[in-house]
Amino acid sequence: MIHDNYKKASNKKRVKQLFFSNQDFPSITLYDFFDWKYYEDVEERMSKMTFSHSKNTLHHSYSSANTIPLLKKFLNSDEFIAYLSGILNKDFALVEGKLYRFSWKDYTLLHDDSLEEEGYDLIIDFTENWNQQAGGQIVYVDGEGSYRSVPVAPNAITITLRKPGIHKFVKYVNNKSKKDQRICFIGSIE
Amino acid sequence: MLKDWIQKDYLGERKVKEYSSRFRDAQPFPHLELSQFLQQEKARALLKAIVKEPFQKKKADLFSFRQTQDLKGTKNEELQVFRAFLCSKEFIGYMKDLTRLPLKPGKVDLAGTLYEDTDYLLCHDDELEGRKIAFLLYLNDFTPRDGGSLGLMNSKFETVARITPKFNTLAFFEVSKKSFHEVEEVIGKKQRLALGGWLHDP
Repeated sequence: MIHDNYKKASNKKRVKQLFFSNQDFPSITLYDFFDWKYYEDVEERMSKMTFSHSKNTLHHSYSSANTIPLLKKFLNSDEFIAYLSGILNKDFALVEGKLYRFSWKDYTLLHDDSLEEEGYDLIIDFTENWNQQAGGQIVYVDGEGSYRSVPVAPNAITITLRKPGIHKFVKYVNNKSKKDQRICFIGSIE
Repeated sequence: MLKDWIQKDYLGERKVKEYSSRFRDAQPFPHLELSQFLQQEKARALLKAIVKEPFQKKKADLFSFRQTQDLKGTKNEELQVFRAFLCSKEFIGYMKDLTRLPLKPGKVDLAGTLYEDTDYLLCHDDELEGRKIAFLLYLNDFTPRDGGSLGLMNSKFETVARITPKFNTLAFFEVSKKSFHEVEEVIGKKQRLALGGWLHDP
């Protein structure tokens, strides 16, 4: 399921170097990560899913759904866990998370009640033709003015080590989105 | 000094008492919207002055808009004089009578804000130590379709009151744990320009 390019030893080494090159925000985005046939299978099944909208005004507004079995199986496969462990130099056992859909007026907010502990985030993007002016980016901040915005691109995965004090939010989706939707898997590697 | 700035419809003991009751009884929390508040030429002069100030982009999870520095440092005479008026015993005394709240002369936060297409300010309560009244003087006209309205919400976060910007309208509300409000996203080419800030308790 992982695209052949990423399986090459030389590329794995390069990905690992790039991940750790930014000491403040260890993070990497891998474009065209999945084999396209697998990606399209997942996308097709997701298009038939029902998302439930949830709003807690001071915290978030978004729709979410449980991860589809086809994706969940792969995320917890030996192949993928071994790939992550190799990149991050750490033994992992599990990937957990949910699918999220953000439309116009959706967002998440940083809030004392919902700040996350240190950990590894995995974001998989399923958004097609997103207008970058429309918001909806996942933004990591360190509370001291530095930030990193995760690129929006279909079939891209982003792995981030959230060090203490680093938190993320999803930028408010504005009227430039029109009827488009930002769809992604947001989870953690444990 | 008050009558040099404020339209006569809002002055006088009887009028202040009437507006004071409206303020206190307003839902979802005490607020007022006073149209054509300042003398017209004063409002026009403030508009001319504020557009000359530098605005910086402010972006975070909660908001996206442009804002000037606090205008206590402005070199613009019109804005200096306006700020001095807001800080004056006369104006603070007037606001104390209107709101029936203890307020401190000389202590006013004041800045210009500019919202453009896609800018917004999500729901929050403004509560920070010392802030007692949040105020906005709108300097241009919007319609509801343009967005940019100030939405005041109840404890269930339902918008109960909506104030659409109109030139020379003063809107203000009591800051508390319940003063949930937002600025709706601006949609389109119009720029929402205002002078706003907070009056403080003693």
